[in-house]
Amino acid sequence: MAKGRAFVRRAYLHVSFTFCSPFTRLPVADSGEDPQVSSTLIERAIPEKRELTTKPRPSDVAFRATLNVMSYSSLLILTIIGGFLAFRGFGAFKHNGLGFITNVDWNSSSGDGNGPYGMAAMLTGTLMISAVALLIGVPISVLTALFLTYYAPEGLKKSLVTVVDLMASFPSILYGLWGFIVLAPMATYWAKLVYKYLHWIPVFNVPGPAFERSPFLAGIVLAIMIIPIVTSVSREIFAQTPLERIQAAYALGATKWGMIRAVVLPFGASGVVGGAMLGLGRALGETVAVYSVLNIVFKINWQVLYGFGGNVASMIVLKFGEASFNEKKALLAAGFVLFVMTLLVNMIANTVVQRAVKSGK
Amino acid sequence: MTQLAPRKPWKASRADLIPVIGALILAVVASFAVVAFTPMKGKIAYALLFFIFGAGFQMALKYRDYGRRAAIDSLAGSVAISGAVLAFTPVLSLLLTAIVKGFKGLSFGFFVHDMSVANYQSPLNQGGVFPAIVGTLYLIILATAMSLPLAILTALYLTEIKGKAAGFIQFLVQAMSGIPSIVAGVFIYSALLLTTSLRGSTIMGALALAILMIPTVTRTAQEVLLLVPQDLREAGQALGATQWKTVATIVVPAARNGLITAVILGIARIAGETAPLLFTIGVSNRVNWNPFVGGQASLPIYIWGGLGDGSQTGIDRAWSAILVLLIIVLTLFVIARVFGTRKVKTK
Amino acid sequence: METRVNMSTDNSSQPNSLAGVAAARQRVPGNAPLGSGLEAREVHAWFGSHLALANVSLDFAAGTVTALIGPSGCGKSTFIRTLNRMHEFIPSAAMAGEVLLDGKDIYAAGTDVTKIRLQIGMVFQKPNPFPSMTIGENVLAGLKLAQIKYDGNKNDLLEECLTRAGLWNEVKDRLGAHAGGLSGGQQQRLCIARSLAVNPKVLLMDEPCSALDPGSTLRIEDTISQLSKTMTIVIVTHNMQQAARVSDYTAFFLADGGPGQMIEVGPTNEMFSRPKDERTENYVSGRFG
Repeated sequence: MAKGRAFVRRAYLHVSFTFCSPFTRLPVADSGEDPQVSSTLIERAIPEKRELTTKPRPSDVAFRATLNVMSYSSLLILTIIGGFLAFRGFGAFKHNGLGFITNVDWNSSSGDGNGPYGMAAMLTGTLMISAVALLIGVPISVLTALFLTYYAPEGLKKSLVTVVDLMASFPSILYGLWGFIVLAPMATYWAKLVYKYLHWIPVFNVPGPAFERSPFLAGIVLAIMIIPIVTSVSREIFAQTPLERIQAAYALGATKWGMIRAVVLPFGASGVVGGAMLGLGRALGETVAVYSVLNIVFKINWQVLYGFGGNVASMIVLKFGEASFNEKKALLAAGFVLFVMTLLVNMIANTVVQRAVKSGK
Repeated sequence: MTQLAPRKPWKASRADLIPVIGALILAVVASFAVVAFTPMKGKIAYALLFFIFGAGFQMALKYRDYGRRAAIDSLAGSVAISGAVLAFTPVLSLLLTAIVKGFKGLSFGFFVHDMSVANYQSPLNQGGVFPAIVGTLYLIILATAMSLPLAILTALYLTEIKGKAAGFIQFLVQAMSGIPSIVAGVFIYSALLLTTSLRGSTIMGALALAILMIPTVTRTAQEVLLLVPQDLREAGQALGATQWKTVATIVVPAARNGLITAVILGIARIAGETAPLLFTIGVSNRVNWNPFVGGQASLPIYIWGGLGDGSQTGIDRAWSAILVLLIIVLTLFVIARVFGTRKVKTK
Repeated sequence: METRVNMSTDNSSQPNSLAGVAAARQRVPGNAPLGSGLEAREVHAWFGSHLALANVSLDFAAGTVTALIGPSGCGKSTFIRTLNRMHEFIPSAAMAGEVLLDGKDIYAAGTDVTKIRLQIGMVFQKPNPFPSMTIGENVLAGLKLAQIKYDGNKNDLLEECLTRAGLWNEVKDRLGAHAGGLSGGQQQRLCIARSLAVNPKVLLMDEPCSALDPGSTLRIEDTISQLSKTMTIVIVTHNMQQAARVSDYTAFFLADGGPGQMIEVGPTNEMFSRPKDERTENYVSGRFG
């Protein structure tokens, strides 16, 4: 492939010709130097490389210019979004200082609408819910990816893969409503079970018997939402495991699980990590699903089973409609923080996945 | 030359499968027995017990026949299958719930009427989602029109030209695909609606959706364009065609089906989005053909309203609208698959 | 293929001919056969509905080296993969016939295929050490995968396997280094050492030297000669000189527009000097291939 692309590398090429550089090897005998030439070849000067050029064609110039401009548009859009949110929200940052990140109170009802505003509750909520989502969603996704690649019967494989991809296009409001109506009673029961046996671990303890609409429930819903992404990425990585290594393991008498442990998992580990980070990026920014199932309260809640919490995205939805002008600025600032967070996670995730795909070859 | 009939002696024969199935049935019986006689209860009890007994019996069978390694291999297989079951069960539940709860509100009238003489609390045979469906389709068309040129041209830049900035642009496109939908919506609101006299309208919602659509279409289009064999491009250039002509007349038609898939997948991505529309599209209870002025109904907003209303009929309407939305998204998905796997017809 | 086989004269006087090479090959006579006997009876192999290999019957005597030769696509690799049940990994694969190890059919119902593969090892065309493991771990990987409790000293086993594979002197100081840093020939010898660690009775080699330079090739051929004293070896090769150098017996495969078949088998020097079938003669004299 590289060869093909090499000869259409640049649009502007023109003919030029340069010559001559000093002799690069031992001189021939008549130059007066000691003719201790060991080789019988007649050495010649190695000329300089010629620059290959051609006359530019107007249609190509226009073509390339258009494509260039259009592609920089994505850079433009990202910068505009980021810049605008930061600019608009700047007032809130200035007014609240670092407290914007660390304060817990979101004071919507102050007279001038100037807060003080703090995102701490919502940030911890975002982290808690995402942690639950990853802890539940990633193992299930990896197992599903292994199942689809190595255990599923040939005839079923394609349909099952389609179903997984289909899951990714379900509207998030469906997940939210389903979580609220169908999953919630089950999740409450499970939460009570976890509390019963594990309440000696502080994060599973609750100050009172309120298990409904907790970060635990929101985390489970998000876990289900990220399964398609993580499974897809993991499956693609596993499918690229070099066949020769798999055969080497089997030829040594390995069982299927032995082969997976010795070859597939070491090969795919970093790709799976990348996939998990992509799932994390999705979970960080999920709005309506969380909004539907969670009881949004502005207090920090480390106790995953206890019935309230929130995340930044759902906070924005909750407050934006009735916010005063100044509060809107604060919400935009919160949006900027969310934007930067998800951008960073996605950038790192993509780099990890690219590197995993390349290094495994 | 004598010839024997082909066999697959490594595949489990019928005789081999009997103990396996027997063990599974035994596991079901055992689970029920344990639930009946101990305080364990609930779906999670049945599921956990079935896993323990099922995997345990399979392990025992393998251990008896082949030893410890085979038993562990069998356990690994059971765990993998269980993981897959855990992943697929919610999908089924989601679909079934949407169908069961949404079905009763569906009627011919539901598809054809608007909400000008009814509200969420009216009985289900009044009012309908016609404006919402039209609005959603309108949004799709506008968002596609705005994002398609940008996305396809960016994909072409990344695959055909691969300039120095290609790596950077690639990185950006991937990063852009992680923008939360609420951020896109809030951005459009604050950039355009807060500062100008513009009010919520279809075009605003479409802009927010376009931001989300561009990265999806670009990535898929890029993958599809890379699949076009390099020989085709070289053939075009060997004939003396300019690069743009090669791309326009050879590469793009060769990738045509894949590009259509890319667009449809992008549409499927945004069709069900709620958050970007909440503050950008305004409201309407009848069809609004003007994209620039006045709010517009849309299925996600309709659902949102039904939930917010709180009444039982409101929630019922919401489920019916979810079902309609689901049908639209699934249809788009199937069309995308069909186009994606069809080969370009050769003359 | 410049050497031409002289059919009529005594070949040991022509050391550069294939037959001369085969005749010159030293064999330690009279030892009790070591390793195990492997016998293929009427083996057929399908890919889906396409019959790739028909009715191959071969008897590999214990302690011998048998070379499988023939042009590309004649089914040699497919056949060798039926010998250790690697053929069945292809989803559409089917087979017929029997393969007997020490008299027992390895395809019999209820056989533990992983144990079969411990007894019938395989070395592949492209060296495939496990890159995530060190050299030492690679050699002992078979033990770990099979969860074999090795009673003796693992380091002694490591040294023994690497010595038998002809690699010990080159890596004894860097057993903890990663396997990816070795050259192609070294990696292939590492793979041979790896398959030796589980003490197989038969070693199958699928064109083990075709991806290597001539120097590495000769060293591996030395290894094969040494190994054949204690195990049965079957080697697929495109290189007829190699077959002449290393093997006791040679089997010629050919797919004449139909499924691959074994045309002729015999002691190597006879196959190259006095082949019975005309097609064998055409191939070994280089008229096609």
